[in-house]
Amino acid sequence: MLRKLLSRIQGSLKSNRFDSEFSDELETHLAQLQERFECQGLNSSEARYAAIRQLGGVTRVKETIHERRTLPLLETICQDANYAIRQLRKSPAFSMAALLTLALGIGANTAIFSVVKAVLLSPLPYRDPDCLVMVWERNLHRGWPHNIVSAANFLDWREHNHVFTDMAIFKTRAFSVTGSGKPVEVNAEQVSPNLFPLLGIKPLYGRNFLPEEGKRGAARVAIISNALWHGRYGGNPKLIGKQILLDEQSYTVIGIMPASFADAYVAHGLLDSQVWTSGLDLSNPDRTDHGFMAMARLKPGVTIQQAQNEMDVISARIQREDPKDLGWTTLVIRMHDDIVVEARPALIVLMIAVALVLLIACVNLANLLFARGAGRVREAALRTALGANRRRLVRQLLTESCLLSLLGSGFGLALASAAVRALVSLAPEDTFGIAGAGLNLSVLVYTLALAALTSLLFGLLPALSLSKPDLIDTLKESGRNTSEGPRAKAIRKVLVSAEFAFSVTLLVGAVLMMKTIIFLRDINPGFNPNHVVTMQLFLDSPQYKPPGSHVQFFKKLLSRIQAMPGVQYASVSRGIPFEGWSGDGFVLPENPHPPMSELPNTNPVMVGPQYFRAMGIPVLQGRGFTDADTEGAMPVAIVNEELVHETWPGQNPIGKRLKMYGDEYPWLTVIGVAGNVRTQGLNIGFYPEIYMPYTQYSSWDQRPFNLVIRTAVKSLSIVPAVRLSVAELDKNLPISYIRTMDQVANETLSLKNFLTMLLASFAGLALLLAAVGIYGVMAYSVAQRRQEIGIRIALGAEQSEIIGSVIRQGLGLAVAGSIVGLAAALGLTRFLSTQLYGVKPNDGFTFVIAPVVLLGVAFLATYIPARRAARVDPLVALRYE
Amino acid sequence: MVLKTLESMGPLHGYGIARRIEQLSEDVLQLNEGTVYTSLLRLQQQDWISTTWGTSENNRKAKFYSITRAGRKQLLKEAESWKRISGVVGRVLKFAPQR
Repeated sequence: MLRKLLSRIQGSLKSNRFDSEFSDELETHLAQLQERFECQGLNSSEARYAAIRQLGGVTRVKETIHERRTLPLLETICQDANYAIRQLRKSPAFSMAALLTLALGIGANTAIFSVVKAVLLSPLPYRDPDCLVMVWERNLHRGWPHNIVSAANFLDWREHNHVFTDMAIFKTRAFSVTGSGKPVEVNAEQVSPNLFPLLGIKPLYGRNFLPEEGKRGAARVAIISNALWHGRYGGNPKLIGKQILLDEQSYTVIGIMPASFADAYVAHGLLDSQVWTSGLDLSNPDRTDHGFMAMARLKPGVTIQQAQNEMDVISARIQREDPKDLGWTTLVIRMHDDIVVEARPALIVLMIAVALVLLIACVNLANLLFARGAGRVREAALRTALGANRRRLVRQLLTESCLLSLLGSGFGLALASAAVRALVSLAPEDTFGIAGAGLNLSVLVYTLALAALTSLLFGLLPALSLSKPDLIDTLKESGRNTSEGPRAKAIRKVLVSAEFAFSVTLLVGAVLMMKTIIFLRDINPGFNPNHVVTMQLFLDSPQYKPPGSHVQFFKKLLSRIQAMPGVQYASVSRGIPFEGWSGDGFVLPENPHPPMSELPNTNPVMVGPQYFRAMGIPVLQGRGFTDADTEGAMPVAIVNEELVHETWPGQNPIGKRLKMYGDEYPWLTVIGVAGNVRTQGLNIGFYPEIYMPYTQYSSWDQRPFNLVIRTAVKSLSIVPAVRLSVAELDKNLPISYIRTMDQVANETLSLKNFLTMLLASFAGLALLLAAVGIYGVMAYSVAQRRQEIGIRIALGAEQSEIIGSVIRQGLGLAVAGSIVGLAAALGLTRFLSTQLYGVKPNDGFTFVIAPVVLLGVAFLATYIPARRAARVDPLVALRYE
Repeated sequence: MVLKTLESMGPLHGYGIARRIEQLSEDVLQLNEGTVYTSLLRLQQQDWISTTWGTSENNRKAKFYSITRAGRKQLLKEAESWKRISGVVGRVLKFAPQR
């Protein structure tokens, strides 16, 4: 079979030589036959005829042999392609319009697919990534579906489960890297020694942690990232075994990660780690002390559901044994699902959107082809009359559309390669895997498949309709007057309506997202983010171990900053709005030992004096913290409105007492009420919060680390001066995460901004294509009706009537399409619902405004041809007759 | 048939093959001589025969076809299978109930 194919391909390539050789061969044969017949007594011409008869016709034999030797299919395709190229070159305007449309449609699809491929379809870069799961704790009663875990629970899980081959635990932290060069603050993870083996990752140089290095008090060892190794240590492998300084303590480097190692937990907003250390302290028996993340590897053959069931059993037993853990269950989730939990719905929406754009592009092209087809009816009729069968005609026409879509995807790929880069830079930075988005082989295959599908989509209908010409009528009519039949006209109208339907659907999505963004932007976060800069300072090195040392440091630093020109207020806090919510229980004197399930929640925040002024949070009642709130003074607290509302509705909270849950915490007296802040995000409601002055807790390790500075000038402009002040106090103290609060607020919207921008541009593109589509159809129909309009004008029709009739026709199509589109949008917007906030998926305003915008565009696009129609000179129009 | 001809007669041109078949079949098989070329092409595509240019008996340029090793093997195979089939058919006919 293969050999035959090969020889045929060879035959096709050397077609001409074979043909002429075969002619020679046949000629010899004929001559010999002729001689033979001549010998039998025939004269030369009779003998020649007899010879030809005996052979069975020279041309027929030649044709048969040619067909058998070569690939006839390939030949016709080449022939068709050749012809198609000539056709496309003959009408450059059509070709350019078609190619541009296709390039946009296919380019957008390719670009989005390459992101989808990188984020959703690529396996995590670990061994057997499908078996990797995250295990979270959750407390559904208290509204925490996805919570970090406690060490005590983790140890029980690890000991009692039968579903995991292994479980690893880690927590994030930060280190100041000092010695040899400028101090830098890096993200780090403290991990159990089995974490990298569990992932199936080996260091590029050196080794993984040993089990005994996981014990507390073992020698301090660290594994560092490839980036840090290159950036700070010059990429020298001899670093293994050397000491580096982390938080002023020396650690031995035992491993260097490969550059390809991607820390999956970038995905959870925990930025990429540069350092990993072992020696996690898992000794805290308090099951409510949630501070860790846990991952596990499923045993072969164990499903997620089985693992979840087993964990449910274990956590039920723990809850029975320890009432403090009541209400806490577990969530087992595939690691990849966990990572893309936010990106997936957004990407699905984008996939739908680009698919709609491509459909619109296809419809547009089909329309263009129809319009052109009308001019080619005669050509098709002539071909049919000359004996072309329908299949041959369709094949010829489809070859043209294939060629178009192949060329279009070529341009589309060029567009996509630029678009992917733009997408990667615009997407939220913490989108896992997005850096890997690019035009790779699978994307190319996808594009090719798309091109083939596209060419069928837009080429088949026109080809089928064109290939069945009404021979007699078409050929009888004079060339100029050929008009498409009623069927073709109907199809074109349906196509234009479909275009509008798709556009309306897209537009609805885009408007919904825009409304969401506007709504979120308008939400008062509860603080004033303008002119506020924040940065992080971790006082972790040994010099800050003595109780009170950090209080002294911050006091000195804040008084220096406060004195700077342009600074209005400077303060410190542990965590800032949108970042660093920690749920904790609190109790009241009336009920000091409530059951765990009735324990009210709060977010305790350690802040400095002036914090409320610096952050722009109003103090509604009582006073803010002052320098007088020190260690020896009465422990005080400021609560937010929400806590007052929930705990003491209708009462004056000043002077009330409360304390954090746990014996080690003191009773606090409420001295003020602060306004509510959207601590967890703009689209999340208010939670009760308790603010405490850090100055009263000098021996705690729950220290502030955020500087919050409100300025009268551009807030980032004071950063150099702040750096200088910090360096004067401690030259080894790095400053990290310098951001304005405006930036922080925007980061929480980044995915929605991204989605909105893309949906809006796709909707714009769709509108443009739809406008071009309806313009084309109306312009064509006006051209066709020239004579009719001429007669009408000659009979006294007003210009306005003519314009009106054309516009009515155009708008009719748009209205029909919009209605269908709105129905489709009702069905499709549910995919968007997770991304919407403050607006329902079936928002009335949106469902009115989208078709109105579209009809406006349709009006403009039909008005131009309508004007042209009204200006038809009856004399010129009628002269054609 | 063409293969067998080429095996027994050595290299031949198309005309020769046509004559030989005509002669062998004793005019039972009346075929267009053009079809000879179709089968020759098929055999060529299977690599069972090879071709060279030469001169015919009356000094014309002609293409000579000769059987290849693969062709001989194929011929043996086909002859075997033909023998087997004709044997079976023969036996079936022999034991068919006589009217």
